[in-house]
Amino acid sequence: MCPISRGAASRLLLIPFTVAAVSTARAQNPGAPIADLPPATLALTDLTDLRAVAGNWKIVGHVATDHESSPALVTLPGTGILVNTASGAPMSTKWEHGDLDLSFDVMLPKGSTPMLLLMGRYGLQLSDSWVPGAPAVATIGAVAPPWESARGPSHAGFEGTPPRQNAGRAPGLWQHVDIAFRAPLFAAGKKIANARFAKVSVNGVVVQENVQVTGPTRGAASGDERSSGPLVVEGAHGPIALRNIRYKSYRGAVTLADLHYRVYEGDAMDASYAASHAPVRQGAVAAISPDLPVPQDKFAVAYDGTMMAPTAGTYRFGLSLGWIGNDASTRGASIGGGTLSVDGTPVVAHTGGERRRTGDVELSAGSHAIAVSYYKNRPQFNRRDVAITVEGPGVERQSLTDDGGARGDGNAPINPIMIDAQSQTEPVLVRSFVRHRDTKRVLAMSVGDPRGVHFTYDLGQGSLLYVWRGPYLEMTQMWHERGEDQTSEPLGSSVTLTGSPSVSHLTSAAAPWPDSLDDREFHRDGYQLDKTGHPTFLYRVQGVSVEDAVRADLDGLTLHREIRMHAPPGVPQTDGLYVQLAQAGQIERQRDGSYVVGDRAYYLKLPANGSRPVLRHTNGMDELLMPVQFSRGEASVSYSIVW
Amino acid sequence: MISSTIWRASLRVTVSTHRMLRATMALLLIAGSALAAQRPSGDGPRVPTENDYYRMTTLPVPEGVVLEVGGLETLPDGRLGVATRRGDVWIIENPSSLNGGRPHYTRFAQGLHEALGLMYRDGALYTAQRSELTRLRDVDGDGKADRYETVYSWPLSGNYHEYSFGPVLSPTGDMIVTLNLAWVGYGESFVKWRGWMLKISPNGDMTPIAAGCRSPSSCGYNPDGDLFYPEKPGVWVGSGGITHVETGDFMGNPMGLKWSGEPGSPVKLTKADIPDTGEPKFEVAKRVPHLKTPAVWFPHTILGISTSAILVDSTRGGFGPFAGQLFVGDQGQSKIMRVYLEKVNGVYQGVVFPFREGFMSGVFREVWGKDNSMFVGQTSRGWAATGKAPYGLQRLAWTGKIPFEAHRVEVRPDGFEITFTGPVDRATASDAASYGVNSFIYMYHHIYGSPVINQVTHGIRSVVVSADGLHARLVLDSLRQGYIFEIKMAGVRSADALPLLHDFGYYTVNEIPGAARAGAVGTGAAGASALPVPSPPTAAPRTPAASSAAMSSAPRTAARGAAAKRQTTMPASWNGAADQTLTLQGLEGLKFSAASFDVKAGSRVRLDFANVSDMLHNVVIVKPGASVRVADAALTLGLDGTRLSFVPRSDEVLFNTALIEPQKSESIYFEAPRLPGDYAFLCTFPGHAATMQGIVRVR
Repeated sequence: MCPISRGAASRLLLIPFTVAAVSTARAQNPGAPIADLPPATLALTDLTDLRAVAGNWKIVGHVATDHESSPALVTLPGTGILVNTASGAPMSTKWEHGDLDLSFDVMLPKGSTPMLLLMGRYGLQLSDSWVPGAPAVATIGAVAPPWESARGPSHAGFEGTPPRQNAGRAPGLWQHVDIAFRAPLFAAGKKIANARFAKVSVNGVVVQENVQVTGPTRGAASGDERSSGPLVVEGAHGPIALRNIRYKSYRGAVTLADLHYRVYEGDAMDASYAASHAPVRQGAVAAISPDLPVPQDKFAVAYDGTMMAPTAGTYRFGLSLGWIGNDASTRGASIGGGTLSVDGTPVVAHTGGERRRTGDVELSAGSHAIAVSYYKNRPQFNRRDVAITVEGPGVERQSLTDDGGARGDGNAPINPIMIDAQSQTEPVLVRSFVRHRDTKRVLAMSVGDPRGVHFTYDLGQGSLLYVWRGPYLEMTQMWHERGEDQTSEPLGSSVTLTGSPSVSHLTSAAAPWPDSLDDREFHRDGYQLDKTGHPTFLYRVQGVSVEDAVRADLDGLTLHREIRMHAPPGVPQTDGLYVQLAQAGQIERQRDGSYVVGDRAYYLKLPANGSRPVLRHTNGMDELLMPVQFSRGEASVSYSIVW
Repeated sequence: MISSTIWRASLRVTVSTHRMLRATMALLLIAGSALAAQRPSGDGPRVPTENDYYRMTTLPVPEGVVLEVGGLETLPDGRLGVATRRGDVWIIENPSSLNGGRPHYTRFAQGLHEALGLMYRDGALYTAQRSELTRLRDVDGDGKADRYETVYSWPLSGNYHEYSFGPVLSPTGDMIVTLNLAWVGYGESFVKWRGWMLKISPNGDMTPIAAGCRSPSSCGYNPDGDLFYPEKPGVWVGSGGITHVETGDFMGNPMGLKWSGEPGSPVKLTKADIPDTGEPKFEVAKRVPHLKTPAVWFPHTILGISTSAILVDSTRGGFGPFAGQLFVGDQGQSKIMRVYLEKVNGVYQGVVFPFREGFMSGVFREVWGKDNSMFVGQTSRGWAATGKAPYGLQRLAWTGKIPFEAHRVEVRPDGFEITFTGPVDRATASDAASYGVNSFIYMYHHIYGSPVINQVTHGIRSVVVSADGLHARLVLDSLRQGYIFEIKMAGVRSADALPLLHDFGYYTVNEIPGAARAGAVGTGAAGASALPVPSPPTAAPRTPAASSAAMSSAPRTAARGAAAKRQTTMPASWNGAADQTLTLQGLEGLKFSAASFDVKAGSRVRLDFANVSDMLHNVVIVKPGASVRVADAALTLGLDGTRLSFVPRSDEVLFNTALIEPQKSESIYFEAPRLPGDYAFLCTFPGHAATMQGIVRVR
């Protein structure tokens, strides 16, 4: 998540949050996060960031709804959430935008179908989409079709783009949307490029990429096209709640000019070498480029020139040296380093400690002197590439180096390997490694149900890791070539579950729940398939035999879990055995006896006449535990997950 | 010993596929005439090929089934079980198409984690997944497994290279599994029992047997119930081979010794006990007890590059004249070798011959069908193989004809005795000039692979052919204990004037009969006097007949003449600057990082090559249109290949790097050709050029 900017006074305090970084919670190549400037935040302490709005919009502190039946949102006073509780006028920002990166949380009650309008014109559906089945033009994340009258009949059916999948969650849960929007371009008053949704993600999965819209959406505030407009949310198509509205609005780019280079060669390069020696080559150059002829292993390079800053404000420069590695033996000033200065002031001091290093500087709009120098002092990685980036107020993070885009590596593209469950007649089982939070689980099994409700289970702990609907599983990281990552990944929008063992003894009611059980406490016996091919997992916890059955419900929306336990005669302790139903930062009991888990992330439902679980708070977490009560050596705990 | 049933059956098959037969015959005719043209006398019988004796057919695979074979097993009723790297188990009914019908596939199990073995026992199938030995049972009898039972599990670090292979049924009813090391730029044992061989009882009791494996992709028992495992060249493994495994043995890769202190370990060595001197392994084994040397070395690139599967010929003649011998597959070269083992002074050793090449993908598993044909399961994903298909299942059937082969080679106190499958032509077989013998060995060190070292050409003192014409006794000037003996028999003809189907083999002399167990050389017997054997080989005696004598002086000449071909320092005349620097990496999966480069004609070019893969690679820049010829020429370098970095001596080779180990790099400097054109760059390591090629566009 992006950190919240506290400097809300400067509404266009622009810090790049890259779309890639927010597109999925589990990136395929986890590495050091790129330290981008934080985005601006729409203030939701009051309505001052918005144009005069009708009474249907207000600021509240808490929102909820009955996910199965209520078309309304229930609110409590406070701040931080913008809500439209009744049909009425749209909401509109005071500021206007062109190119915009935007992210927010959204909550919808059952049946609500509001739309977000970028620049007040280009619609993106935010509808309640809690239905099984294929996505449609009304599904959350759909790009709305342009105004009917602006199109010829030949466009019918070809505009308006459903999302790639229905990534929507149940009413009353907080959902997350990320949008990279690019405004139409005009030259001499004539449109030369359509508006474009560069990327849209819903609940962590990409549902649109580079979708063009040929004109304003039906229902837009204006039928014309311009280079800027306000952010608008419809008010007439049902209630909606929004929070954590963060954005970066882009208005220009940094350019370089008058570049000169100097190349130094010698046996002992360091940060001061260039300043104290004569270059072996120098001259004017069009770009900072990896094609500059330098030796492979021992060199220093210095560039100087002029940069044009389009606006005044904080600029963040990044200097990345390809020959610096991650571990102690591959980094340090004895291997390489560099400096980036603006107007003679060092901004980035790269001392070889990590590959990429950033630094900030306040700049006025206009021309500034820029100087970059770097060195490499020993053979490493066969690399000598540098990457220089800049981001700033209204400036998207851009490269200042020629990235050699023309030099493709010519290798064949990787054909993705995806497996489907909904076309099958029985569940599709896959054992693989799976990334879960910060660890790689090596004993994972995913079960893809033809009903479209899937889950990943840790056979080594007897715990659920993920549940999701829609497309099933991506196998490319496991089945392409050697599959070096050896992981599978849900293709749908997954809910991350705790991953702690589900069944354990506690020495006392206050004892902390174990993060994991070792192989003396937990013995894996395998699993058996029922007549329809669904697995029931078999294991033993401290002598108690467990049968764990996780099944999709007929509705195609819910996952049901039943944990049956058998204590053979002679098992010393059946007291103190618990099933952990959920663990999260917060768990809240609802009036109907169900629970809402996490930051309204999913619902947990218990059988109508069953025992009531213990809701306790330990180690800063809420935890829902069901004491196991044996009757003649048998016990059973069941619950459902709804999201 | 022709099985008439099989003969009739194969006739029916060929009739039903007569189009394929026509094509095959056309190919045979072409091949035959080409070979006939090389024969000194223009007449005589057509020279037979492997296909005349062992016919290969490909099983059809239904569209959509990715049959990357990880395990193969014949069920009691003749159906074939196939475990796949994608985690399925398929049951193939009628795998030999004996009634003219096609094989029928049923999926028995799914969702396994890279199942690399399959074994039937007592109504259940067993397979090793990455993390466990699993028993698959079909309790309700619907033809699909409904019980997936964990028999025994072992830890994983999460590294992809931690493959788990097996199980193989032991004579005592236990199951053997073998566990690969992880790969992180070198082989590593991050978690317990990686690099080990384990024995697991049906009720899940585990006993570690041996340590020191690197990539033990299977194991197998010989007819006497002794266990052998194949190893692939790599770090600490100079060349492939098969090794006899006894409880408490250490196979050579020290990483797994991390766990020798664990309870139950029969291995007591620690990492500190293992020297890294580059001496031959047998020399080190004299000082390090329980360090095991291969029973039979397979010379690298000549008889394979990734030894994979072991199958003992238990057909009692149903598969031809090699009953009791071992058929050992190779994944990278898509072929199968044949091994004859003997026990000398209580130690296993023997000879390896080529047997059958030309499989469609990487040979990974072999199993006997009920009709005594061999099913060969194949996969090459991630490790390109000579056979270009990504996977395949083929059947090898004996045609009933006896090939003219060296059936076996046995060591004698003063040389070898070769036994042929049929009577020889006495004139050629008793002529010493029909044979050639060299001996050599590999280094034992942490570096990936090894050059051929201590190579010696042996004089042949005499050849005596037995009265029945089936045996030839070679008396050599000397034998060297611990060494690999190359035995070439190119001049030998059968009584029918046929050449040998395969005219060379490699015998590993771990022991010399009649010699004291420690280090005796050249015992005088059969009239031959012992000669002292000098080492290093530069002073070795050479006979005019030994072709490798001429070869061995080649690299020095080549090195001088090729100064411009492999210039690793910047020429002084360049005044410290290249006009252009090309950066190229060798990547895992047999790929280069770039497909093409543009260079200016005549410019000064520096090429930086870094091998970031886990195999050996070079970069050779050749004249336009010459890449296939140069790659093919590299295949013929034999024992000299490593020393020459697999760069053939050819005018068509313009520039080249050395053979670069994993994680190493080299820069070469050259002046680009003045003649514009598309010059190929390629890796000439055998089998790599097909995917490791690119273009230097000179403009």
